[in-house]
Amino acid sequence: MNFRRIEIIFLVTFIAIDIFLFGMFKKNMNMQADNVSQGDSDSVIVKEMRNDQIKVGNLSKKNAYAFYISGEQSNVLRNQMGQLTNQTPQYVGHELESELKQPINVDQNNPQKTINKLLTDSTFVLFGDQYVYSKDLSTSRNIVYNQKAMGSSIYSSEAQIRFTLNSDHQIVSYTQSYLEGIKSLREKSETISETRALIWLYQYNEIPNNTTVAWTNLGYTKLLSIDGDRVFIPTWIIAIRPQNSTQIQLKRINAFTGGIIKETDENLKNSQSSMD
Amino acid sequence: MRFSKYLIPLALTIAVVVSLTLSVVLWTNPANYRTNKQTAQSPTSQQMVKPRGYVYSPVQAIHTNADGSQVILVNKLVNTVTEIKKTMKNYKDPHIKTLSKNSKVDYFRIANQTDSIMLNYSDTVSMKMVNHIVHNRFKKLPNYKINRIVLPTNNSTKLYLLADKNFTVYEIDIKKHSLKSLNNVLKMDMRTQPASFKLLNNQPTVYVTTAVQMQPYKYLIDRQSDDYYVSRLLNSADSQNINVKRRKKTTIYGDQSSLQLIFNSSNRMAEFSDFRPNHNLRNLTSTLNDSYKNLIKLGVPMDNVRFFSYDQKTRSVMYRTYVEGFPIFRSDGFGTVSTRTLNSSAQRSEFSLDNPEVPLPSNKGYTSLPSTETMLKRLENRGYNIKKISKTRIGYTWTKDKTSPLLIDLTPDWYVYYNNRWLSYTSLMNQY
Repeated sequence: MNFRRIEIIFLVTFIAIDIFLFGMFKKNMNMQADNVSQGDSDSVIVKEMRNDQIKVGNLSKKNAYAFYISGEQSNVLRNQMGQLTNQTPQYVGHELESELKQPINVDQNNPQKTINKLLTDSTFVLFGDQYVYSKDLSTSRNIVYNQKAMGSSIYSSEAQIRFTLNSDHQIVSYTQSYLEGIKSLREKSETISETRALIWLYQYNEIPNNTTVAWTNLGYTKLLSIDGDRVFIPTWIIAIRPQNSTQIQLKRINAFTGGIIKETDENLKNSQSSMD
Repeated sequence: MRFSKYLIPLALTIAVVVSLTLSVVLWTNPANYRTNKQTAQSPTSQQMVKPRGYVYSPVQAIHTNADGSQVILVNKLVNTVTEIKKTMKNYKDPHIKTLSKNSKVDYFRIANQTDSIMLNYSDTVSMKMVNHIVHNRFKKLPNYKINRIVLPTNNSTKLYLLADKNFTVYEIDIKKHSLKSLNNVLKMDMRTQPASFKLLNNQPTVYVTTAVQMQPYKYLIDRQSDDYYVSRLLNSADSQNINVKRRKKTTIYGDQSSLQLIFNSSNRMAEFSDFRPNHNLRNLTSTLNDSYKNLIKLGVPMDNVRFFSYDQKTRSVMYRTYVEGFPIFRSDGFGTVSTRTLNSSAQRSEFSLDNPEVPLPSNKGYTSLPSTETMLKRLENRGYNIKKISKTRIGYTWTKDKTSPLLIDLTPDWYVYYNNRWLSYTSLMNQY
């Protein structure tokens, strides 16, 4: 009987030891995962950001693919604007400014639905099928379409259509710029992920505390101009908004090198400041 | 009653065994002794680090179609080698055997087999490097040295590895896998260049059989300052005093004892010497691994930088930047980075402070390079001993642009390895 009691005591002790060891083992596994995978250290930094009162949504860790591209600023809009009807187009400094003779009604909540249909008509807008709606840059009075390029779109005032709406949700005029002959300058290469772009921006101290990351987009932005040619690089465009403010600031991260692009494109900023 | 008599001893035995197993696992796990390394990660050391499988990658893909004709798959919208590498991940249960040795016939029969893609490394690598591109599937295979990988596009259970030395052919048997993605790569938008794979002075060589149309490039360069490298390389904890010596065109930074950094402002090259003890290992795998670590430590931009060659005599590893799948040569034959182990207490890296970053649109149109045969014949007619050529490559010549210090011109040219040096065809033809 005594032996049985000893057995029970031993059993209880060993079960306790097992539980303790198992706890150690699990902790070890977690530690290992932390050490091994880069992804986890990323999420630690994202946590750090959230502790700094920076609001971020769910971030993608997937690497995308992109190109270096170029396009040419040409006079093709001027040459072809004769075919536009029911409007008075003017060509000023590589931009086509056109006032509609009759305002066109658009859907109040989804203006792009109406406009997407209109863009297929080449007597309304030239090369309309080469543009895509940008929800992030648009406001209730100013609908922005970016020119498409190699599976993404260009964020530049030199490749954009901006529709101006009146208070009755009618298009009254638009401004268009267009780049001709968009081509890749080099083969497809891997870009950094959304998470990494944001982390680097954070580590460059470019995201102040108490801000919200309003949106992030991978698009092409202008690097430089050589005569009429424009060179675009894939860029993570990150919009941050201080809390208690509606003013959005745009930050750009080179999606190939991860470097910050300091000089913000003036015109991009202009289209932003019209935000209300 | 009888059952419960055995219950407690049995439970006790299990408990003891479990505790022993867990103890062994915990004791033998190295993670135990490691502290959490994240804290050591400093935000200042940001750079785009490319994995080993990126740097030690094949640099050329050759497709042999059903009738035996061959083409080089040249990058246009996609990097052909990268696309093919992406499909090389589902190699289950690999077994390797030596198919033949010292037989040129067998070597070329496998290399030039119909319906296959051959991936060529720029120089000999070891199986451990191949393992990096096949998602670790070959980790159990012996560490053979190889130069080429042959992927049949119609046989999903076999792969071949070719070693140029001794004309060795290894066959790897794998479980049946889908060849759909590999065949899809061939349908992608790419340029092709007729070629044939045969011997040149007893060295397997890719011959280009027709004139090649090549695009000259203008590149915007990434111009790195001396300071970046000084703070990166000389700022270790044990070196507080960095002294500077300036001569005409060179600036020498040193920390008195173990590290030295020399910048040459005329050709924008730098040399980093490390006199701390190193492993001084001579085998190929450790040399390449060490060299990779040094490459990362330097912090040079690694975009499109690939392993180019390893010279066993000088123990130097050369890396070059590739454009459209062709390597860049500077006027002195140098590439982007070279690392070298001199002895157990000296390692030296040379690197370029300027690196091509963004290609610029060029209206120059294509230039034409002669076929390999024509090129060799012309060199022979000029009086060169063709027997001394062991390797040929199509490459780009780096020249400074006259209009801006931030631009370089890359001009296509033939390069031959002549008298142990890389020389351009144009320079050889203009010499006499």
